[in-house]
Amino acid sequence: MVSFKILGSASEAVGETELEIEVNENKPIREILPGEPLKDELYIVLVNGESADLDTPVSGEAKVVILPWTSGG
Amino acid sequence: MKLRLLRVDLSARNSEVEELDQSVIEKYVGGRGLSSKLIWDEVEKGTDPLGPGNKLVMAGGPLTGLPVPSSGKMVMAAKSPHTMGYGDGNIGTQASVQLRKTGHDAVLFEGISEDPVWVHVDDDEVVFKDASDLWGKDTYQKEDMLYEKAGKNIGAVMIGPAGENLVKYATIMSERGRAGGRTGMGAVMGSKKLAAVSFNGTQTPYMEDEQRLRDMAGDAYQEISDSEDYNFWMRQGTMLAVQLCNTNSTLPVRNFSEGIFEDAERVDGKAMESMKEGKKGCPNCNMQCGNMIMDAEDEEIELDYENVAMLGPNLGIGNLRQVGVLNKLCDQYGLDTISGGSSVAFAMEAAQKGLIEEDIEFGDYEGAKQLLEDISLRRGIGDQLAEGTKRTAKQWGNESEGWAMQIKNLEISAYNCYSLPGMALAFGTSPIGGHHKDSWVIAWELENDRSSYSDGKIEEILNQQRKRGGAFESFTTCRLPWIEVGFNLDWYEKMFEAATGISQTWDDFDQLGDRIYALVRSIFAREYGKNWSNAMDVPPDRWFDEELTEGEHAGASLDRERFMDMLKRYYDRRGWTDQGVPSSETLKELGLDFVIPELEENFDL
Ligand code: SF4
Repeated sequence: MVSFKILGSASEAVGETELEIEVNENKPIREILPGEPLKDELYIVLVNGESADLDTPVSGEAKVVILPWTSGG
Repeated sequence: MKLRLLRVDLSARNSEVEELDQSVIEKYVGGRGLSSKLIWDEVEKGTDPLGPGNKLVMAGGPLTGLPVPSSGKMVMAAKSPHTMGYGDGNIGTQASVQLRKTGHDAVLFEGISEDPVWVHVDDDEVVFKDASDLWGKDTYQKEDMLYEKAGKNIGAVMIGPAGENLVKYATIMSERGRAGGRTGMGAVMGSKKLAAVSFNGTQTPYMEDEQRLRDMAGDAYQEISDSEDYNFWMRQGTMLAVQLCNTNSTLPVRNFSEGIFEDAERVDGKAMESMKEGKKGCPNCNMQCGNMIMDAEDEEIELDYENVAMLGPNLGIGNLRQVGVLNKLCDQYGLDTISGGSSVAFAMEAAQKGLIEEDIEFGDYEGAKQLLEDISLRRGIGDQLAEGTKRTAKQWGNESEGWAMQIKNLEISAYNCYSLPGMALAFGTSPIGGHHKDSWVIAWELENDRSSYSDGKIEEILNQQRKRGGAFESFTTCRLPWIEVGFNLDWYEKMFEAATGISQTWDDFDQLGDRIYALVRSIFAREYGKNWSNAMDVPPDRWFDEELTEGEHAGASLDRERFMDMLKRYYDRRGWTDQGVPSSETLKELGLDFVIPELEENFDL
């Protein structure tokens, strides 16, 4: 299962904060996610802790984190 | 436009107004820029920060209190009793707005009052009021008494018992939860016996082109509320950072020993939303970020990320309502939540390791309450901890300095950097000590080769330090609209021109940031003299010599050699020497020639 953690305003667009989706063959993240399409410039995407983007293909046990640009407390 | 500086002599109990001409605004703008110039000029090397020679500045800037988004801030600055260098902090309060309505842009307090005093500025009139009944009261009580005596229209700042007791990291407080000056500005007020300052004004602050500014304001506020990030920001504000940091192993947990917390979900933004009672924030702001919940004592408390992380996970406490009580205690005592949290965590670890006999451990809510009170009232080990973690470590020994989580004595705010070399450098080079406000590069680092010590990270740090630590601190407006909701920076050039009649671009504002950084660094270098070295910019040993043991980033730690190399490259980009002191060439370029002779007494520039 590919797991998604979706933080901040991204979770409002997707409609979920955590998701697990079965993806057997590599597919770009933006094609897997439900909800409103995410705008590239607004979010940081990490796959298995490494920097990626919404076009990065994922499958299997990948861990995806999507978070908004932010500047701390 | 001229800046009007109100000089208040607390020893002689008199005041006068000094007009600073436009060249001062062009070069220093206001807020931090103006304050750093005043501290350089007027606080001599070696001055006792808690003696009559120190000067306390409360400075707005040309945008403060105007129809400009998030412009309810002012800067409070002095020689810091905690870092022994330049110290400041900003605070969002009606006092900033009222200060400018009195027809003044900044106030400078000098001398020491013999008895507790409350200074009330009513337009042109400065009244020295007896504050013997305020002294000893907490900040909530003090504020209620001020409102009762002077009416609710005033804007007021005050200290609590921590400031009166000269706790090194006592803050200045306002409006039950607004805090500023964690570099011990509350202790400076306490040393001057200055219990409170209030403002009540009837004038309109200077605006070169008021109509243009008002026309722009509508669109500017609209741009903020139309932002795609706005809705979520209004839901959680800075509290999103709990989840962000926990997900990325950067939360401070149990005195920064780990980066993930087993109870993070009980203290994160989502947990807060489930308890939320309302919102609170600074004047002139339409993206209010304070979130109100009921604490474990059934009283309202305003939460934001730093407070929650330092008084929750960093103490091993995973109950948000209990964290709320600890936050409230700090606010009432006028104690900085970050340094307070770090000092309690330091004591908890010291007890765990057998360095002290006190019965306190991580997760001990009642113990934390007691210790915050003991620090504020300087009782028992609280008296030692009131000096900060580094000074306490020197007394407690056993290499505890390595896990006294501070830089330049100032306790590091709530980001754990074992796996973030860039943020560690941002903390190291923060102008006031271990603070995140000027440069927060974690998001940038996550996206750009997190573990690297790259030049790109240095550039991002410089960019944020210039804008957030230079321009915004001097305008004075909040730093948050820019990145949090993508508020366009072009607005500031236009608003600055309409407010002042002075045309400046972001190139000018960036140079202002460089000038302020060089001047603040010069104050530190002058103070420390031969004792200054690049070691002052290096984070504690814990991040280098220990490693995370839990989570995805288990095994991560900073590499000392690579960090030192990155620090040197940072100095090179700033035009500073290998020891982190601005070179004479840099000082001349920035129009700071006047600091060279004093620095040359100790440094080869
Ligand atoms: S965003 Fe928050 S800190 Fe900034 S001005 Fe608004 S309420 Fe104050």
